Amino acid sequence: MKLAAARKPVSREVRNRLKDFENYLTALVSRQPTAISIPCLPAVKAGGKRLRPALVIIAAGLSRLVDKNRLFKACAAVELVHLASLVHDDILDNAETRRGMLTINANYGIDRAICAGDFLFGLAFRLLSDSDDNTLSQPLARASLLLSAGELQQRQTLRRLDQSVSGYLERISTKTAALFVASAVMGARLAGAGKEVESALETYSGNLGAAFQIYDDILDFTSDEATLGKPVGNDIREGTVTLPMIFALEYPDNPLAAALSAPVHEAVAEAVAFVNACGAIERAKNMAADLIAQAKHAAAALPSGPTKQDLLSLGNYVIERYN
Amino acid sequence: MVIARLESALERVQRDFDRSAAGLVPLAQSLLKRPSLFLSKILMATILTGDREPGQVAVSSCLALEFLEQALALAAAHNESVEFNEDCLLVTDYFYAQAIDQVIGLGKPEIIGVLAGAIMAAAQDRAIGDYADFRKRLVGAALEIGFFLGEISGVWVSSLREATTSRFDGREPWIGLFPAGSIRDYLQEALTPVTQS
Repeated sequence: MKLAAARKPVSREVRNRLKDFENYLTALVSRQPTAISIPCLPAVKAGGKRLRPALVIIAAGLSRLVDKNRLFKACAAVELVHLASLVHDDILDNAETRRGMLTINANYGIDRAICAGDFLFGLAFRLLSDSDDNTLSQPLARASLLLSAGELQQRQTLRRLDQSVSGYLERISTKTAALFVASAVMGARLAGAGKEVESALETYSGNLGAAFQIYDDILDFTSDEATLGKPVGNDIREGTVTLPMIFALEYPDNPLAAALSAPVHEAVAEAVAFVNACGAIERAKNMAADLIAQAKHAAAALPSGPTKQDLLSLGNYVIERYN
Repeated sequence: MVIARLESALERVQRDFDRSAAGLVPLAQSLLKRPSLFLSKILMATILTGDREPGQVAVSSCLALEFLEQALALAAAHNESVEFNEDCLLVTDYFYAQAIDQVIGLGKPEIIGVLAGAIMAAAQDRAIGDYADFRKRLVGAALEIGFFLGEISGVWVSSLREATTSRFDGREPWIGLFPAGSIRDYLQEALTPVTQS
């Protein structure tokens, strides 16, 4: 399925800031020891949606007085934690490519990829410690702990058929949404926003992040290998039970159980086809859309201005992009 | 008297570590080793050299170092094993996050910077194939935090810094650079079996 072409999701000011940030991030990683920068730079330059730095920038837009250097350090910190998790995820998934580039583990080996991920994680907090009194480090540290705990908890639920929607939502709130929340909160704190605004941004970004993960999990069934950079049905192979699978498992005589316990090619293909046909995808999309609606409801409570507009627009973009 | 204070501080570290360990995700608990308190001894001893009383900030910093040691020990053991173990990678990441979490609420970004720097330096060592004592970067971190919290300066501090960076392999006789006295004697006795292993 081709991702729908979307209008620009955020304002020109945010887009320009993101472009400047892209240069900042590349320069930052370039300055690191070559044993780290050489393997990491292609991954950094390959780009990405940069949703987390975008959230920092958007939330920080609540004030016109945010120092650009501090802003970019915060953006870099969240993106480095995200990149570190992707580098290690690629090892765990035995992924050969990401965004059309060879992964670090494929190009340099597992050991180097582990080191690169560790280094990027340390760099994130080193960056913040230079100029922070903990207001920015604290939400990022919390998100990092939730993210790593979420990964461990996911290991314990691999291939289990008895998972609930609430359990899944709890899992993705730690694995994915936590870093979205940290991004928005860091932006809010840079802007000196009050507790009410910070709370609204937490609700917005938590729901946005959860919806984003659901759409990502849907794509594993509905997209194609060229777009994903890995075969369709990878979650079944890995044993990760996602929302579409939880819905599909409700149907009797579904082939998912067999595919999860023995993910051979034919079984996975049959399970993917079943998930697509049984209505599970539509239900998952509806849930994601509900979460976006909740996100937008939280954003609507913010003071009128570019930040509110960008957040609402970003919510619409996420829906359009994945439908 | 100062050794009694040191050992009392280490008891607090052990208690708090046990409390933290009880709250870990089960998979991480299964891979957790009994903490050696090697780094905590260095940090607490350094603070006491400045005749400061180690408070909660020092205890939390010790916990951070102990979790970093757990992470690096796991990474080192994993590196020596034949097969890649996914659980080890995930638990290592979790221990890193635990380490940072121990010091986040303390209002001391300098300590976060030292710990983050140690993570980076240890990763860089491994990236260039340097698998000498993984603790060496943490020794430097323990000393730096000890200097900071103990508000310590002086020639011996510079000498120790120099001895425990760049070419430090974890086994150099750095303990001898501490000022003569009961603390140095304590460290010589408490740490020599570890530094010689």
